[in-house]
Amino acid sequence: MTEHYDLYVHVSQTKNWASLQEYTFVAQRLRLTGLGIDASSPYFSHKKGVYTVQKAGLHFYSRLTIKAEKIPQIKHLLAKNRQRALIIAVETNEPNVCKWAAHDQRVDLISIDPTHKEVFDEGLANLLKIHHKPAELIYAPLFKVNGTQRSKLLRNYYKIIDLILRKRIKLVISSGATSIFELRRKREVVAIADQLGLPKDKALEAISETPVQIIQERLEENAPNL
Amino acid sequence: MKTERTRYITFEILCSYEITFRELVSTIWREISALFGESGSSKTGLWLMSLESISLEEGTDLTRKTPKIHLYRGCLRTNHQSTDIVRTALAFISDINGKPAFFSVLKISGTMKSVQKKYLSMSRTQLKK
Repeated sequence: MTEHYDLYVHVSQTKNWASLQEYTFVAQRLRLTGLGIDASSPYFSHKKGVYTVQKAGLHFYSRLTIKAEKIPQIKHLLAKNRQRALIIAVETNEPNVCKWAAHDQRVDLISIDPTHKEVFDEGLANLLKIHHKPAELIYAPLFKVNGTQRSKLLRNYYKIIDLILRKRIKLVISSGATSIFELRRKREVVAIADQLGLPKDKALEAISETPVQIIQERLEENAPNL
Repeated sequence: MKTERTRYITFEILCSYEITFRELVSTIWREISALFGESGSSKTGLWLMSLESISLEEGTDLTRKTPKIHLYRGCLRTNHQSTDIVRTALAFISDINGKPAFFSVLKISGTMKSVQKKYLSMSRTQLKK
């Protein structure tokens, strides 16, 4: 049985313990293996140097999503926060910042916003391929729109996935959930990905193998004996 | 014309409010029509067979700071060619009549017996009705 990791769920926004408890309950029901939660969430906020926590049969990994609009800003944020989390992701609508982040070894993931597909162009795809950096695609925006808006969003997803497949970039599929109702079981994620044009084997890889690789690499880097 | 082979999809719904059978049926049909069109939805031969409320395990105190979570379990009947379509449509559902909810498919089976044995408390005769 393959594992299922969701490296991007929003917990810190609510800042209450119950929310994290809810995620734990639902993730258990959906048989998730691990969740990537914000480094400022209750599991990690008071413990310096702790990047992973195991609770109720689930692995929680600290994650930091950097949102910057200019290159000096992202440089500053990366220098300041690198040691705060296990996984560092960059989420921005600025193509130049994305391209700069694709070069940087401190960045683990480039999160793609499907509502701004122009950011993910051939140039960025080439850079991700050269630097073996995975792209992260979130599916929660699909649940927030309906009708014409959803068909426009689906088109953006098709284009992004087409580019990812053509350039053979590593992909991570995460929920980007802001509530528990945006989490999905492994087979459902595969079904959604299939609908978006991603073959089932690639989708399974994007929720199991690739996240495991990222986590293991980062854990090895952060190991005290290294 | 070949005989349709039936598939039974057992699912679970987690939602923040109580839902009714009728609301669920209209939500599923609406989603399939939105994603696959009227032609696609007509080929599914979809039928909601049962929906029952399940109590959450003891000790899961989720009501402390947040709205109560309701758990339902049900069974859908479709044909073997449409299981992927139905599964995808269920995955895309994020609310039932405006109430936040999500589906998770537990099992897809070719016989009602195995579904009923493992997941549903209703008897076969009740399901047939």
